[in-house]
Amino acid sequence: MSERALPERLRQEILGDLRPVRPLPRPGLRALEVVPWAIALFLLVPAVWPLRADAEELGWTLVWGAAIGEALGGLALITLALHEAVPGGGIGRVRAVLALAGGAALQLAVGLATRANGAMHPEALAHRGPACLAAQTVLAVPILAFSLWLVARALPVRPRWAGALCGLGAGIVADGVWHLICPRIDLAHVLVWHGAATLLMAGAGWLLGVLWESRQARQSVQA
Amino acid sequence: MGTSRAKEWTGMPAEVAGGDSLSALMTAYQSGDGGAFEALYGALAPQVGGYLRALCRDATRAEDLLQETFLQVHRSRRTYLPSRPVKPWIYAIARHVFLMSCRSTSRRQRHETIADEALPEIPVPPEVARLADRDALQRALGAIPADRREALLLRHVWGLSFREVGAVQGVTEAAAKLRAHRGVVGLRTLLGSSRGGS
Repeated sequence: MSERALPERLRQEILGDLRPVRPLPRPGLRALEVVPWAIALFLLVPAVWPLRADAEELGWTLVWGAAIGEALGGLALITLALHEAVPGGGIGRVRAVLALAGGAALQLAVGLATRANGAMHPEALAHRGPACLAAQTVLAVPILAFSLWLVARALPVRPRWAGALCGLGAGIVADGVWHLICPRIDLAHVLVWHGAATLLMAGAGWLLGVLWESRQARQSVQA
Repeated sequence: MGTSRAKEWTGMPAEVAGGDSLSALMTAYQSGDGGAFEALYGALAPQVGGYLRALCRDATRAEDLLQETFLQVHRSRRTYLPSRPVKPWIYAIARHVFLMSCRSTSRRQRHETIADEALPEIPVPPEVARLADRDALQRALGAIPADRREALLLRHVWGLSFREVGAVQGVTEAAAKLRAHRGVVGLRTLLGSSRGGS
């Protein structure tokens, strides 16, 4: 295998912009940048809305513990998305699908545990599904936007998968936060409205990944 | 210039420089050393060019994609993590550039119809080089499915580990191993049938 000289055009382009760069931190460390957003939501949301009516029956573990567990699960998915954003460092499609399924299973497990141990108070019926969908979406959007920005600062070679992982991660963090507030324990409500909010975020992440890919392809034509 | 820079950095010609030397070059390049980039280009362009030729089966296009790959390497140089091997990172960028180019020009269908005589040479893995003459091997390599050919070449021509092949292709290590194995089996079958036919 012989060496090749650097073509002149490429040399000029490179030498024209040779400022030193600092390597990106490892994906796990970069994911920690999302933590302040999650903490802000955990502080802000219970300060604005009253804690769920069945908090006493559920106890600390199934209220705060489950919420924090979901948030950690969401952050793990965002970490995987950041792995996907490093060329040659991705987790692959099979593991991405398993991670997405695991995230959905975590949300379902929290719903089932809450249903088994909680109690439906009369005021819980005032919590309508569309309001939960809207609230969870509003909570998830800043986390999705920030984590996608972290992904876009690297080079995702499979942006739709990175986007879906970010979206599901943001959705699950938001579900954890909203779990502190929403007193509904019936599975139909949890699966349809809370599940839809999470899936909506995953879909939005996937779609943004597709758009990012199209943009990359257009830039490739222009180059 | 690439050769002298590589020797200066690694104490050996770049073509025999190992992963650690490439990592040292990459780290120097991230610090703003243009010579380190030239040495990296000198060491890796022949391999990455061969990889792109094997992917797109069009020598002229592969040359354009090679330049685009190294431009993308430059734009994304901060995404290289110093503790990781350089080759899977660069091959993954080359693959990304190729796929983006396919998407943008819908050439996937076009290059499936390129006549055999227009196809560039695909590097032949040493494991199968003794099985038949070069032309027959080239034809057989061209005939096996693209993902298997890619895994086979990455492993047996460019020396990536199966884990690294998986990282480049976005599959697990086991799937990369299976693809390369099926590629070898496919080659043997094709070469066996062509010999039987003749």
